[in-house]
Amino acid sequence: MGLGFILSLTTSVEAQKLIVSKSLVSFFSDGLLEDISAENSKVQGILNLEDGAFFIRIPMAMFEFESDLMKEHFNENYLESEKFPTATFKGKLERTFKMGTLKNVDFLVQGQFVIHGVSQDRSLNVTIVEVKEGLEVKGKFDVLLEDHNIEIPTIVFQKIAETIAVEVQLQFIELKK
Amino acid sequence: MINRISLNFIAVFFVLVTYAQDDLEDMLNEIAPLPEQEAMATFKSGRVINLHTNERVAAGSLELRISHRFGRLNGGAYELWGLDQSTIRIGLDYGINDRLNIGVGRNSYKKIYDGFVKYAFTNQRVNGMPLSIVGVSAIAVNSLHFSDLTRDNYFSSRITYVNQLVLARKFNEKLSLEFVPTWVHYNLVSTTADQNDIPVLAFGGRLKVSKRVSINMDYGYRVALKKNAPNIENYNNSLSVGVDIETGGHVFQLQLTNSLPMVDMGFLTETNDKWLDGGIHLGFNITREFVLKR
Repeated sequence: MGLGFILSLTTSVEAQKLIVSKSLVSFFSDGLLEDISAENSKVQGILNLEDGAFFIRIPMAMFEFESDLMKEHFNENYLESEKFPTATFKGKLERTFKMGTLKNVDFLVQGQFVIHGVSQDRSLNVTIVEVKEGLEVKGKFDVLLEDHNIEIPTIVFQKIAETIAVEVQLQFIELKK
Repeated sequence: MINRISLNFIAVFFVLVTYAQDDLEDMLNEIAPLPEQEAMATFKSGRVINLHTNERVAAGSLELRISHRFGRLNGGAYELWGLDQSTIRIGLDYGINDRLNIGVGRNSYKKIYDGFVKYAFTNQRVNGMPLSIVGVSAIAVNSLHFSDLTRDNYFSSRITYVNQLVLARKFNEKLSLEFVPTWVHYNLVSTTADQNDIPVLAFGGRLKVSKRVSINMDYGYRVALKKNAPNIENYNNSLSVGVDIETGGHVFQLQLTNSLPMVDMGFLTETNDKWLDGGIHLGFNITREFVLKR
């Protein structure tokens, strides 16, 4: 009887978890000589609708650039991806909801955004929309390089902006287990 | 009885608590482990100085490489310590795909045309495969006029082959080393006492001193297969020391070397000068990458 209770409870909890199935993170930097942009479709993440907690991570080496040289500079010189392989965002939705009942799509999410090994508390506005497969989350935010100890080189010809505009699109599907 | 119920209760409670504490990150690790990461930028470019590295030009990119060596430093003031003379190689490397590169070059040394194919068998991974293994197969065609026009001269006599296996490892952020077993084959040598085949045990390394500057070195030890072969005895092992400076789209390499030729068979087996005699050449390589196809 007790066991049955635990089982039923755990399954109901499991059903409230969603994982990232499709993703696109892109960033854009307004350069002096060259604009730099990159895309990453290898984002991983998990969302617990029970309490609104989520954990998102972006493998930095999976950003694709216009040229491989840019990719190498990004990973070797700026983000030091062998030392800090991922950027993560761990936090909570301001409110939770049950699947099939979502009305207001605007959410405030709060948490720790870690990139280049440096953590910043961030609260971001995102939209969450229910789609056939699950949820679609979209957001835009800026990353200030200085906030994360990302060095802005002075001798390089290829200058990069101090603020990077990031756009995120994540599709979540319900986790079945 | 009461004890049993409370025990049961504690058990249930314990399960619930541990469940609630289950970290989302751990759970994600179970469901979707992080993709494996390849070691990036073991070396800054396709050559340590003269010697091939495991690095290739990206798929669809074309790299122009201009290599230049001045004369001997011991040429004295009359030769302005070698600055009056120059030896040059102009080369183009192209990335057919992520594993395969082809390249061509023209050398002022013996008016050699060279070409090579470079193929990556494995890439070192951050947590996994410890080595990058890359094969290089090169051909050099000497286009000087034949020296003896009275005998039968064949085109094949102009050709030298170099086959190499680059075994490279990035040990940490700063240090990368490679061992490059090499086989050089001459279709034609001057005398029967010469070696048609010259194995070379070559080594290369780089030490990063800042994000954009590294100190590089390469060396090739030639193995004698015959006693007193003139084409072993009359030449020296190649030793080059230099710095790589990276500036955006360029890599600028400055070096000191006892090798004047920059083509593989040249510096590996036809190095004339000796470091100890001051037979040192100042030189530089400049590369510029062009993205042709995405």
